[in-house]
Amino acid sequence: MKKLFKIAAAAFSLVIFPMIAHAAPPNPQQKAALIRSLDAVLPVWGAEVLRAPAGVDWTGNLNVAGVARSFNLSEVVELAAGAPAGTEGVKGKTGFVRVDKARGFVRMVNNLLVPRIGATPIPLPNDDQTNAIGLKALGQLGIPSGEIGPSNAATQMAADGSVASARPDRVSAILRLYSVDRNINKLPVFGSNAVIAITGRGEVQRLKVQWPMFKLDVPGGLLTRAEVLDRAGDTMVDQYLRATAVLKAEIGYAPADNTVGSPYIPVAMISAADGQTPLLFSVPLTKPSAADDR
Amino acid sequence: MIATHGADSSGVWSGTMRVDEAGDGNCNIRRDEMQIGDSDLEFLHLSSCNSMDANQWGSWWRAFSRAHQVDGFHGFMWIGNGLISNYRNFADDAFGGSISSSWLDNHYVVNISGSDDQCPVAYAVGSTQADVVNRLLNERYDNVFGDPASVSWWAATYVAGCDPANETAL
Repeated sequence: MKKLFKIAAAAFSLVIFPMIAHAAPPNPQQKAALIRSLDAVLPVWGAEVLRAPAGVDWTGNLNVAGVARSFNLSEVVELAAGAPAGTEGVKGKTGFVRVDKARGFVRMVNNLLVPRIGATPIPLPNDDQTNAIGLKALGQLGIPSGEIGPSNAATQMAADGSVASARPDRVSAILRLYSVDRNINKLPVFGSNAVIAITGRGEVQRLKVQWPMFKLDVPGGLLTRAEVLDRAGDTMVDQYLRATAVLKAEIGYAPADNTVGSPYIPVAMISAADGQTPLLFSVPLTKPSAADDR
Repeated sequence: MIATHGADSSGVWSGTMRVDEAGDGNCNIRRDEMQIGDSDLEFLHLSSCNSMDANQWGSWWRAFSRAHQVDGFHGFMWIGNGLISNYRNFADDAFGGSISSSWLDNHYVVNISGSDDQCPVAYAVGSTQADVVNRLLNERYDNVFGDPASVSWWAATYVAGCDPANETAL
């Protein structure tokens, strides 16, 4: 127990070096230059961003046993049967399932399907097969098909080498990875996505789904483009971004705040890179309600 | 976990502060100045750009003392409020599935900037080829192996084709 505590303590010792040591000095010229750069890449939006329908509550009937059953984790099904009602996570020797309905989060891992490198490899599914298996898995969980956005099929690799050699001695394709983003009202829902790892036999080895309940909250109506640019400019100056930063922007939806179950608001999601750690930040497109003092 | 600005300095990861401290007390860190695990640290996670670039895999093992695994990023990684929960989810997941798969699944983001990917890499060391692969794919926070008998092999897992900013595609 002491050993485990020591390991956990070491693993979670968050040695976060302060990335910003003190407040940025006001610099109107820098802000103006950044706003001009952003204006050139920020898409146009209109009132249609306010017309997103409420999402489907796909987690309503979701539970650990059901997820375990869907993906053939019989040990976890049995363990879940003996767990208190509402248990969010069950772990066995063969795998684990975690279901956090409030956060729209599901994690499943089948430890029996961890690939064995060096064993005779089984050909992995091709892109079409990967997409089909991934979509089927999302359907088994109850993810609304109308919210499934752009997907990607990739391959998880493993490379290993002796310390005596400069390059890997062996490179192995071990699993296919199906990843998908969420779209609502034809716009991305930032931070809402799924990743599914698939074996050569087409089995789901693990999955992670982040798909919170979607409900739009737009109490105050839309901000003007100039207001959004000005707010973005303040953030960029606060973050010490240089006027030469490479900016990219996309319109979509993000949670209004970091609380669990937060409603969504339309935002401009802005990527800013100036040679140091790039920054991803959102600027609301809507006015806060009069009662919102955040 | 260490979170800092990062760079590939001639094949060596180096971490620095965005804003230097007044005087000469600037904080920085370099892979070739590290002996990870000397005081029994098993796992180190780097939230830092270029902390696990592919060209560094053949030399990262030099920093391992008794550590088992270091996780980082090939190319640039992004920071932002919306990405913080990925670290929470990673930590939760690493108690039930492998640390390496939890790192990949929670930090792999296609087109994170609209065009560049975010490319996590998990990296382990071991005494033999079979040992290092077993550690990489099966070690968890609640299934901690003994310290490697020697640092004779390294292994990395990653997503093929992942194409980040400031590095070539994997």
